[in-house]
Amino acid sequence: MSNRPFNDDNFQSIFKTYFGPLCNYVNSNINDWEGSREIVQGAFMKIWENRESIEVQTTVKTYLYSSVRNRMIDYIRSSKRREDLNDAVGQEDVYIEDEKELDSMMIRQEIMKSLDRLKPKMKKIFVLSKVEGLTYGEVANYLNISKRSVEDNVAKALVLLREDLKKNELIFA
Amino acid sequence: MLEIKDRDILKFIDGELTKGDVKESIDQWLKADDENLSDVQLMKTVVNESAGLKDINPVDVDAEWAFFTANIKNENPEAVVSEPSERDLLLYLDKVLPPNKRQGVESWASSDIGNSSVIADFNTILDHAPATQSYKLVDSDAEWLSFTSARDARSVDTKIVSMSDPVVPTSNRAAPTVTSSAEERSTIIPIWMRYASAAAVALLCGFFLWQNMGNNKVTYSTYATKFNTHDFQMVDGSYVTLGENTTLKYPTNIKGADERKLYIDGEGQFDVASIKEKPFIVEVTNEIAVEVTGTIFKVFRHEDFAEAVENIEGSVRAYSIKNPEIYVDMTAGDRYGWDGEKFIDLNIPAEVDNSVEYNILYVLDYLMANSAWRVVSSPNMPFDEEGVVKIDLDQPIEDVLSDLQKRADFDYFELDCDNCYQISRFQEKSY
Repeated sequence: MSNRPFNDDNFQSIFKTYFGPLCNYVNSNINDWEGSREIVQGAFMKIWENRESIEVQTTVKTYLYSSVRNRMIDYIRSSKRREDLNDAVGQEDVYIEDEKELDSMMIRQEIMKSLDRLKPKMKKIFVLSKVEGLTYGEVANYLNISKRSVEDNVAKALVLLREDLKKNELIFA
Repeated sequence: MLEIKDRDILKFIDGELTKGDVKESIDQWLKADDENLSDVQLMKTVVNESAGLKDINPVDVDAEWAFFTANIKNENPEAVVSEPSERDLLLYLDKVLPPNKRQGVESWASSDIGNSSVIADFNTILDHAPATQSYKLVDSDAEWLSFTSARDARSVDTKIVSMSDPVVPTSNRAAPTVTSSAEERSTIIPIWMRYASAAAVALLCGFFLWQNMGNNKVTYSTYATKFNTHDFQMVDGSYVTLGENTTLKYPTNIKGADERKLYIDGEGQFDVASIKEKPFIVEVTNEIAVEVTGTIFKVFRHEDFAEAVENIEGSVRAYSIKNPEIYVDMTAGDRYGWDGEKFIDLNIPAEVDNSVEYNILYVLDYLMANSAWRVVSSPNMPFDEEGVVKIDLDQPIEDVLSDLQKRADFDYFELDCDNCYQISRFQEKSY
């Protein structure tokens, strides 16, 4: 990969891939959705303005994460929310965990998108079981179907979700 | 020579016989035949080696053979390890698969790196699935538009800033031959030209201000819910409650925006903060809009209508975006749906349509039979035997005839008896 990865051709694609996960990552730290959007959009604006000169030694994801994280710290400082600041950037190992959190946000985003591509009934069964945490028996009673049918649907949904997620190289290599 | 017994030979080998008749007899026996000597040496070897047997573990050859053959089969896993069913995989991940099947899944997973990655991927999905409840799915297209709008606005700002730079090239300004005092310039430039220049600058500034105002693009925020509802307060003080699977786009700085205009696709309730000079307008998909200054209303999904509005408090006006002259003023409790052409009052039960499509021939037969042949048709009336007509046969016969006239050209006239009619000149209408 070029060490100057941002350009007019790929910027929109990068923006659309990472905007949602980054907003969710920031929001999980500051619990302010509008603030999160401003932080992420501000980071992208800065990158856009300097796209021709930005050199990236790591990956696009890591660079975006660092940019957004730095702006988040500034935001928290300007809001004088020291407690949040300590929580968010207290230790170096938190840094590593945070980047994993960004990966986690991307997986969540892809799961939600993929769920929409399932048949409505299968989606409902999977969501009730694996998102909302009902047992297979509870789902079966609620939807008035057999427990075996619930298990089969969840199993099939899992296979389809994996197939869908496999298409995204950023999720499953 | 004495008879030599086995135990004597054993004692000889062990060195216990050092003298006596038995010892002499054994010596003579060994000398008599080399084969005897060879046998004793072999026995001596066996005795000596037997001493080390206590350090050797006994081997179950059958078990070893079974292990060996199992290893051979493992080199070709397809022959032994079968792929578990999708359901078994799920139950394995749920840790509720019976032990015998569990072993099978584990063998399958360990037999190939691709299989073990399937298990890992499934675990990743299941680990992250519960957290999707709190994940806010973003409309990336809308966010990109919002970003490009903000970017373009900044670009305009940059251009305006650059206009404050000297218009005259630096090289010209620096040229000593052009440098002159204000007094000198005033004598050089005619007065009319100075006024004209001032007017031109004023016009230019006005033009840029006007153009900039025209390009004052609003930055929008987008909020999308999936499986959850969401309450929040906008900066103008209005409260919003979004239903499931709903997207709301609204001006980020709604208080400072020229108009409070929002776009919703889904369900939402709005408790609108009253700002008289700034009506609160919610566009529902691209069909209708709801306008208020201060009230509580909600937009919801109706089984028969894509767009529906209920007014809870105060008064609102719902209107067609394409044709604002089609509107309805709603008071508290009113509920209206939009059928694409007009607003339907949802508080009034819809009329039941009993009409059904019938074959024309069937309708004629029906009329004749149910009027006890008081309705008759003229002979040789032309009609399409496959033609159909939508009609409610539960109506009085005259109403049925009247409805039938919408589909066919014919005359009917009363006969002498009550409810007696004759149909004539029956001709289907062409559409």
